[in-house]
Amino acid sequence: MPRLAQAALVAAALLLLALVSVPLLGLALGTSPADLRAGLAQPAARDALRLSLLTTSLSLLVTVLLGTPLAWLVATRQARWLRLAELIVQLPAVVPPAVAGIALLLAFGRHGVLGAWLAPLGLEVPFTTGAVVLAEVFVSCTFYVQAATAAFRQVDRGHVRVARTLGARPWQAFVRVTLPLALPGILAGAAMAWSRALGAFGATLLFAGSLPGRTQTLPLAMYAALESDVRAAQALALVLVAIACVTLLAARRLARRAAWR
Amino acid sequence: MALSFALRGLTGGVPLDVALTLGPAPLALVGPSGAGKTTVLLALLGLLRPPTGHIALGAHVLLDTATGVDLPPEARRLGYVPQHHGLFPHLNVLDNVAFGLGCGAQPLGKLARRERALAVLRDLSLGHLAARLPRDVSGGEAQRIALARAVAIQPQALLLDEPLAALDAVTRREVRAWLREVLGGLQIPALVVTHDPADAEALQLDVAVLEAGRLQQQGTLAALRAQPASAFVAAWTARP
Repeated sequence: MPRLAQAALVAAALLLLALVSVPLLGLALGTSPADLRAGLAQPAARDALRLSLLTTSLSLLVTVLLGTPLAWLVATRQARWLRLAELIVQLPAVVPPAVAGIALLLAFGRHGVLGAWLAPLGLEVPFTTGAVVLAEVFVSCTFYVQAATAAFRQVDRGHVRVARTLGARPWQAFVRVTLPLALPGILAGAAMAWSRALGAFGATLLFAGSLPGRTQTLPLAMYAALESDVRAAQALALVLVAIACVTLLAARRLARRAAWR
Repeated sequence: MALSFALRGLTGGVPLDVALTLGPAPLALVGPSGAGKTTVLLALLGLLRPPTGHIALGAHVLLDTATGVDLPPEARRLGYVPQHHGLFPHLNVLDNVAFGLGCGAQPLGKLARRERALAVLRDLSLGHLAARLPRDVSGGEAQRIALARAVAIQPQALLLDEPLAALDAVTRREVRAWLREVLGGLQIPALVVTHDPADAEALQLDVAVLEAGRLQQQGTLAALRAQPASAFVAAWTARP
């Protein structure tokens, strides 16, 4: 009987693994190098790739610049608003991306809370490349802030104290002790956030649309290509999977292996 | 130069009431767990702030709550070795010791501070460890390196928190002898938190006993043993 139970457990586990890996393997094996080349040779695919690299670089920059201070505060301070902040920043991970897109659209629309402010300045965000970046920040920031917070929390405060007694001002202690000790976790979080931004679909589609060259990122181009040229869609999908795999491996390595550990 | 201080009021959760003056001879700070020994060190370092207090090195005032003087930790120049050495895990031994030389009002360049750090390590017979990472040195070596790092900034006083506690018996004796030599050579005020009477005995330290944040008794180990002021002092000084 225990043997039967164990077999059932293993079977369940294998079933789930198959569900995840078989489609991805099929995608990889079903796309010949010629298909890949032909698919990527299309101008729409090139534009989408370029746009995706541009917008995800910008969204990562914004996420790191704004998310690092938040993560540090959440990790090291006790203020009550920070406990709330910790909760708020987790929302993008649970809110459906399409809902995020509609919320962004309403907020930045001409009559939206933020849009009403920006309209007099002549700034219209929806359906621009800027909107793509904002949507990507929205859906990916959680991953970065969570990882960076965990990384900062793991830094022994005793080390920071010693640094201060050795003559380091607070910012010097941060740059020379806190940051290097937290860096592997921070980089792993950045890799995950970037990969999430690269795959942003629903939020981007609703908030920025799918305008080739302006807002049509890789996932959107892939979706658009499905109707006309399945090979191109397949090629783009494969590129996304490859990037995701590389990112996952890089993030794992970074999180686990710092030279001094 | 003497280190004198008075610390009073709730500090980091411990109600302190301590006043002490240390000359160039090191003093052992002992007491039951939770008595506030580490709290006293952190308050002296400027990492915790007592409601009322005064800390001075000779005429140089580090803290005076009455007049609002409160130098930040980086301006106090007190050498500190925390419990479990606290070496920076991402820096090798040389850069750990050089760390403090790159901070402060006149930071040294990278080469100059490494040179100085190496000289400090060699003085303390630790030169051969310079290139190692902290994870690759033994517990006894780590304690010595942590002291070297504190000494490298040419501190005006030394505060050591249980420098021997984490070591096995043999290493403990070795490091104790080494520490005695180093402290003897420095001739600056030094406060050594310890829970082991053997440390006080071997290092020939006077002893200050802290209980529940208050200074209970102060004197030589022999004097404490002859006339213990509390049950803790009697038990602590009793010969095994």
